[in-house]
Amino acid sequence: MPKVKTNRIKYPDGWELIEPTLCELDAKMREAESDPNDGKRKCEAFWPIFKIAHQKSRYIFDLYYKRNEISKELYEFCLEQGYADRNLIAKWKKSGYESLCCLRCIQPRDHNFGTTCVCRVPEHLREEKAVECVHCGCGGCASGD
Amino acid sequence: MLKSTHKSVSGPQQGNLPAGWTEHKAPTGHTYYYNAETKQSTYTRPVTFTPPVAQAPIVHPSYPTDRQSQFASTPASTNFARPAFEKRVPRRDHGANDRPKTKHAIPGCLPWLLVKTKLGRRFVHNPETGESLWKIPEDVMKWVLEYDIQSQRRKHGQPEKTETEHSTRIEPHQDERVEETNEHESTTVEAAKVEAEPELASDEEYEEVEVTDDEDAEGPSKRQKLSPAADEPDQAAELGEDDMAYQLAEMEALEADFDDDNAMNDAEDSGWTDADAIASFHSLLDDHAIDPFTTWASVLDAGHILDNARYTHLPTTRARRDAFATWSTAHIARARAAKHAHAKQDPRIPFLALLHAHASPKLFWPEFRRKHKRAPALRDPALPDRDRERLYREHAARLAKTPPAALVADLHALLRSVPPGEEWNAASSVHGALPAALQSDVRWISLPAARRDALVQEFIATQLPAPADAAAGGERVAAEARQKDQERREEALRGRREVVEEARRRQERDVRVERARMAEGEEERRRALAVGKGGLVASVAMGREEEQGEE
Repeated sequence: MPKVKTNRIKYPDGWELIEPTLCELDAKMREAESDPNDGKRKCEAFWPIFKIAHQKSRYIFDLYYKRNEISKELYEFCLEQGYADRNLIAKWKKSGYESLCCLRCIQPRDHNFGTTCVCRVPEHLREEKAVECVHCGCGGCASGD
Repeated sequence: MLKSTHKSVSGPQQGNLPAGWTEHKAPTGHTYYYNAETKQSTYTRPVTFTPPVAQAPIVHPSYPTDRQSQFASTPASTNFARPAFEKRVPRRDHGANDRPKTKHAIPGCLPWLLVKTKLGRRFVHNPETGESLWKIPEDVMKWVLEYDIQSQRRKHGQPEKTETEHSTRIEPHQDERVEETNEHESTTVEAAKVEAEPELASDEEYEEVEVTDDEDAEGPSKRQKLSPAADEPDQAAELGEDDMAYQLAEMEALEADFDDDNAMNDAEDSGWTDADAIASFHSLLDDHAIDPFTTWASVLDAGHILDNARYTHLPTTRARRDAFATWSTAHIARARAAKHAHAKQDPRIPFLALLHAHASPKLFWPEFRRKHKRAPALRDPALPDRDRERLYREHAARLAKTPPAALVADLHALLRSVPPGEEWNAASSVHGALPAALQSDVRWISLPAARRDALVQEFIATQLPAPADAAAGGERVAAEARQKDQERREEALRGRREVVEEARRRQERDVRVERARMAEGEEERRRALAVGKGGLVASVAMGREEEQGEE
């Protein structure tokens, strides 16, 4: 009996246009994953991964919501295939979270005193001007900045 | 010593030629002498045993014969002039080809005219008495000098001082010119040099006659020549730090007005607007064939555009990112429009193109389909499989059975069947974009591509009316507008570059002035600190002395 292929992916219209960029980002992600974290702080190891995940999600989000360049099918397809983080995108749609760096930074349980990360604090309100948050290395993602 | 060509004409001895020499007349009227044995020819009359003293000095009619009186006016000349002038004897030769060129009335003493010759020499002429003198008389000389000074002033608009400089400058010129003219003669007379030698003694007298007035003109100038030369080192020494500072300050003052004007006109002059900057940035993106779907971060990472000068036309990275966003949006919209146009294409056209390339009467339809099942034209759902098969069979039958002449006739019929209109116009302006009605017909692919294209070209050239200018004209206008816009932008960019350059220059100059000022201060401080054993008073006195010395 011939093998039935179940993983056949049907790419929506317009996929070929965004494919190179997504492939590039995927390659970067793979590189970041396999990168040895020699000499880095413990918290620094995940920063590039957070950063690239953010970039990918942001790319899809921009294409669909800001620039209207891709169809709804393609957008859904990208979310289903894991090219973008739908939870992060969901936050971006809320006011005050337009440029959120990652989901961990708004998770009160991960922080002392049940607050958010320092990168969520607007620049004019925080004491130190240059920050790198411990979760994703974000330098500030408050909406007003 | 070389001798004038005139001399041979007026030479006193006629029948006294040495053996072997014959006398001839040159086409120019000069007499020359030829020795048939030695094949020598010379303008100078060859002499053998005649004593040179026998030749009388030849005196130019206009030269004063009274030698002694001239020497009386310049007593020193006899002593030092002779050795100097023996070296440039040919000087007197310019009497032959020199001509009066200009004459000026000498303001002080009216009947006298100052005449300048072609070779730059000058003499005075009195039209009333008919007198002409190389040696300018004392009383006239005074006025001539005055006239010189005035004319120099007129020429340069500068005070008297330049007069002396000028004359010193002129002198060598005269000599050069004189020597130039003499070189011609000296080459011709070269052979005669040896024969001329014995006449030296008689020549010298003559020379002195002529030379003295030159000497007279030259004498003062030579003396003047010395003085500026002596002055020059002093001037060079004087050009110190203070002068530099002074010059810098002057430069500054000069450019200050200019700068102010520029600063005012900066914006209007350059004509460089933000829109231009964005447009140039867009052209940069176009040139690098950047994918409009890519992200700004990856563009920056790739770094291809960073080296380009156009990258810096936008001042901030944020502005660049915005420009990139607008550019990519526009690009994607354009690509989408093109795709839309493409989507409307008849599905038969790519299929027929495939048939044209690969179909042959030897293959049956199922075989052909199996062979090319990967081809997109065979997988296109817009064209039913039944139609494909029908088209294939028709095409194969035509290839197999119809004679070529009939195929050509069919193609002509097909061409004629498409009414002349919009699509044909596009076809004649843009290659390849022929009407879809043509390309979706099976008759279109019956002939080999080269032959068919030739026929179509011929048809377009002969049968179709000239394309109406509506579509093509519009295109051309758009292209022209784009071109013009580009040119304007380049012009504006040039203006902006000038402005930037000007600003840079200004800054550099400021730095220079500041540096000079600092060096000056440093020098002063150094001087102040350098108090020797003599104590403060002595050093102050020394400094004052130095200052005076400089002044």
